[in-house]
Amino acid sequence: MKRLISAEHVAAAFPEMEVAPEPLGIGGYKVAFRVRHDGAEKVLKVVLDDTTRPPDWGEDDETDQDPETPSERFAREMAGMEALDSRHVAKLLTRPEERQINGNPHLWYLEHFYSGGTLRQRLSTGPLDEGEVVRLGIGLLSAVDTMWGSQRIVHRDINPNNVVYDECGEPVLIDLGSALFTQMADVTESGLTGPGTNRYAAPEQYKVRAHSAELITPRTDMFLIAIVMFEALTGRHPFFPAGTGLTNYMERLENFDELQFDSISCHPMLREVICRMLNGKPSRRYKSVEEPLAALRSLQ
Amino acid sequence: MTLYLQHGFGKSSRLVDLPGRPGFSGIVLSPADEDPQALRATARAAEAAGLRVLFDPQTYLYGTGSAAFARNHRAHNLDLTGIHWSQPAEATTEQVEAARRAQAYVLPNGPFLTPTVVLGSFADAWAPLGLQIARTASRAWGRDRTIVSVAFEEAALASSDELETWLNIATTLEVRGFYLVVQRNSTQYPPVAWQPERLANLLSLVYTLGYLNGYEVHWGYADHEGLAALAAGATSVGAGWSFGLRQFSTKKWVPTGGGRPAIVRIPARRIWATIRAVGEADQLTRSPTTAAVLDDPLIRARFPTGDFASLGRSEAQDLFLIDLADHAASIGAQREPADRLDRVQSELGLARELLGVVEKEGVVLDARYLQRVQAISNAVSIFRDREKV
Repeated sequence: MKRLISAEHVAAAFPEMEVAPEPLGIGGYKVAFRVRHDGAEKVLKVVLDDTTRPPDWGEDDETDQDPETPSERFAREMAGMEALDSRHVAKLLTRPEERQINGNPHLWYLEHFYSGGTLRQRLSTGPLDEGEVVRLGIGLLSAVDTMWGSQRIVHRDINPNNVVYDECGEPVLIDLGSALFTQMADVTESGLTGPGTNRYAAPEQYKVRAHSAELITPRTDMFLIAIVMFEALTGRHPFFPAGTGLTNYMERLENFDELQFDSISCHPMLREVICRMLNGKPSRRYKSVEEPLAALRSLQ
Repeated sequence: MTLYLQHGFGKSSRLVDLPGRPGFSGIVLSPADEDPQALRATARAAEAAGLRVLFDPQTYLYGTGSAAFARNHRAHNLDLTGIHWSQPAEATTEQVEAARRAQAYVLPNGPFLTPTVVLGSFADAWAPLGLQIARTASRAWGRDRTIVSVAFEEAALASSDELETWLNIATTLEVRGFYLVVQRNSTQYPPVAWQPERLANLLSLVYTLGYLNGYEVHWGYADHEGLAALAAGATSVGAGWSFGLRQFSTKKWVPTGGGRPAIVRIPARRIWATIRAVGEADQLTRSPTTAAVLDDPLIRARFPTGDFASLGRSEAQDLFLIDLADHAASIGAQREPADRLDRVQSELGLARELLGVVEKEGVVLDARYLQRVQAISNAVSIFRDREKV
């Protein structure tokens, strides 16, 4: 029988590291600790399952909606991180290994520590300025361009908790655990049939019958990036303004109200890019990320 | 953004006479009307005349259950009577290869049009087959050589939801473009007015594929409605010399016992129509007010004395094509869809006014002219409102 683990158990299991007393973040199937190892700040990630997760390690606000087992998600995340080479996609420092923690076997690995914190943390103090939003958009679209261009990967779970900032202030996309790998047989079959994260999903992610490699494309990630950019620019979610619930949510999601921009001062090109990527119909978004990338770069 | 000649029976010397005039830039070859050797010679003549050449394999004749028959298809090895929505993957591969072989004999370097069937709706059992054929062709021929044929009933445009679902997949295809043909319910000429909602959906289809997603979009057998499609983002629209080459119907290929000779018609650009030379054009010129309908340099130059009865059928066909091509070029000269659509709406507004004046003056014209103008105008308004263009 497996036993619950705690931060103390993790610290005890990794004596070669200085493990922070509180988790840095808790996701659907793993917990992250900031650690000091070999003189550098890093992130230790430990894979959990329901039998080892302590009850007080609740999940972050934007809960992953993934019915898969940790090992399935883990396999995808590792495959993605190993295959990609972009400053805007998180990198692995060590390959996964197994270690006993409180008597249970757990997979663990080290990631680069991104000192700039998450986008969610940045937004907690208010919206970003327009230049930062443009930089955010360019970084995330570049990440999508790399994922699709080199490995035909769609991230599917871009949200403020999955965007961190490196030491130069560049956005970096993390957590490929929900990604769709359209060309890698060993990790192609995803059981994910809904959105990766509540409130950060494109309309097509809710359509189970339509959910296939044919419809989930970089255009899906564009929609998510546009949600994040809009939220970064305004401080509010484009489809979930404060005080609203789920009533007519799908209708709202499929019909972004461009009039929301009327009260916002921003460059018309930035508005155009966000509005087009927020189109509820995938066919009306950009065909590839090159076009919005070029548009945003022209604003720098 | 120009007119492609819709090739068919009786091309005469048109491939020599028409190219070079404003607005002509291509031709869509019909394998039904010439055997492979003759069609190859036609393609070479067209290329020598500076036209871009497409070859429509016309496989939409099959799978419909109709008695359609295309005279030279067997000579081109284009007899796809076995095509079916439940066919095995190997059959799809064979059909794609048959279409390529037939086209490559005539156009060695392509691009090639995919085989297809006529869809009753964008959600019917045949729709996935068309997309599977497109993917198979794209893999075999390469992105730059693949143009996807999409043939559908006019009624398929009744459901914008089905069209959207289809578009969401079609816009993931790695292909050069799309060749559209829409089967009209009626084969009368002048064409019966479109239902505005359906034409608006067609314009959305063209706009989404052409302008938003950057594909080439060719609409065959388009007639004047094609001008609105050019404004919405079509690369080209097709029309031919005979009435059967100006709107699409597989009924054209169902053998009949002949018919009446075609009425001689004269282009009246200001009302977006071709009107009867005798019985309409001559009536209009009796009053300076109504003569404004024919106030066009092309017509003034050809009929300085208003002797419309002198117009022969073949010359009338050429005049139609010359006028439509020039009209297409003038609309296509605007760079952005919004500017082109402004122009189209302005022209259609003037056409409505002019037809109102004609009616007040007591000259009786075919009611379809006004109906078409209103339908196209309404369709453009619906489309612009929906797509925010």
